[in-house]
Amino acid sequence: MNNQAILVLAIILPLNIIFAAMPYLSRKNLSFSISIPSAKWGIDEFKRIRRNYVLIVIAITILIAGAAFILINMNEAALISAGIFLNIALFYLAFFYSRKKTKAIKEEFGWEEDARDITITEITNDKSSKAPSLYIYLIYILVILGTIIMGYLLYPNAPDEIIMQTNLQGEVSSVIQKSTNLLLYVPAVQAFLAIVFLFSHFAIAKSASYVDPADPKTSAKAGRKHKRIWITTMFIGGLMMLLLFTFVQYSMFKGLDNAISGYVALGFTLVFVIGIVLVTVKTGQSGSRLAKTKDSETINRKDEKYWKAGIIYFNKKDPAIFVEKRFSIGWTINFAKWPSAVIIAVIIAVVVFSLLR
Amino acid sequence: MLIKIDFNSDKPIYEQIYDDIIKAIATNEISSGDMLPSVRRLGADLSVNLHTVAKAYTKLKNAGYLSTNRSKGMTINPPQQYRANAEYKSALKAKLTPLIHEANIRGLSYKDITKIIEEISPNKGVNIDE
Repeated sequence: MNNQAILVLAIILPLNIIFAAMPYLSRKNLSFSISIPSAKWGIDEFKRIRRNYVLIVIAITILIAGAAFILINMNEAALISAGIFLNIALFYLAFFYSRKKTKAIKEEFGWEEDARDITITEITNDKSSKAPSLYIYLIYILVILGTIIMGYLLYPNAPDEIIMQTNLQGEVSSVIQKSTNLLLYVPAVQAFLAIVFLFSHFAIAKSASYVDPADPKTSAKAGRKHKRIWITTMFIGGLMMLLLFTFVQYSMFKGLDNAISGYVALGFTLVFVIGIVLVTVKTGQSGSRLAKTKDSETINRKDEKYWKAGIIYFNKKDPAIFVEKRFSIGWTINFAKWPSAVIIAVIIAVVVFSLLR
Repeated sequence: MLIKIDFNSDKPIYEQIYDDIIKAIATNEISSGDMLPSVRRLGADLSVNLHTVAKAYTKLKNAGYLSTNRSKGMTINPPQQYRANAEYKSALKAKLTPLIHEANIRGLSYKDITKIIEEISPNKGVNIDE
């Protein structure tokens, strides 16, 4: 068993588990991003499409993992990148294929559409539906300050050469001479991460709420709870990331054995991923799994034409910048609004910058 | 309280928003001191232009139901601020007259019309004095 194959599997396995679960976690009035009557979600034809989709995802997993095991001589970084890229590309093929099948079934049955083009929202002063206070993010600042202080305390006894990178085999691949500037490297990363997680708080809180017209009160309440749960989850996830880097700072200046750092990082990531999966399964899309909503015999096609290929939301008339994803669980952006272009540009800039370093 | 917008309706969107908020106040789903979301927030949730929402809010403010509090935002005013006066009553009478006459023409009696009014009245004429 070679290390890089295991790493590829470790990355694509949770990914594909979530991909496979997506149709079952989405709201019942959607099938592969196509609007259907929620009462028809359970018919045999759709069951078959979902089952075949899962089988395809399993096949993709076996294919990519198998290739990773065979291509031992390939450069490790290239293998992992290619594997993940190919995995995601194949997933999209599976998605579009299932979407096509769904459209065919929909045409065959010719279900009635909602005669009215309506939109509903709920206004409430319910305190439990408010997002967690921003004051909790002060904890982030405390952690970062603590990390800096800890670094200063360890500095006198730290090794002269600080280990910066190790490869998968555990061998050291990059060291730097110890200097006081290095103390701020990890806190800088932490500060950046804190900003990213704070941004996710705003994005989720400001995002447009989806309300199912067939059962507006129940779905509105579930939707608010869904947002609150996710904001809390993101806060905890961010905290875990920050603490992981606190450990990195400790490991760097205490001169810890690389293996330990590796396992701790893996442990943190595992807990984080499992946590996300659990929350995803519990809440479902738009909180659809938090409460049982009434079924509808008709199709509500609100906004469907603005979802290009079912995955890209482009709606000039909608003032919302952040909206919920249509196929999977999470949030995406309204590409028709100019702040979206800014967000994408920033993300690309960050990736390019870190690659160039 | 639910706000429902029908994009295919003849009624302008801002009027639909206005009417739904009036209904919510009438049925006591929101009352004095409660906050309405910002124009951006409501616009985003309804996928409606925020200027349309602003138009509805302006109409509510002009009628005295809503006021913008600098710290709290858009809040519903206490009922004392919008008690029916003589001007309102005569305007209401003017609006109702053609509707009642048309109902008469079509054979609805006084009793029939009163029954309809009862069906749509949330508190059947009970005084809303605090």
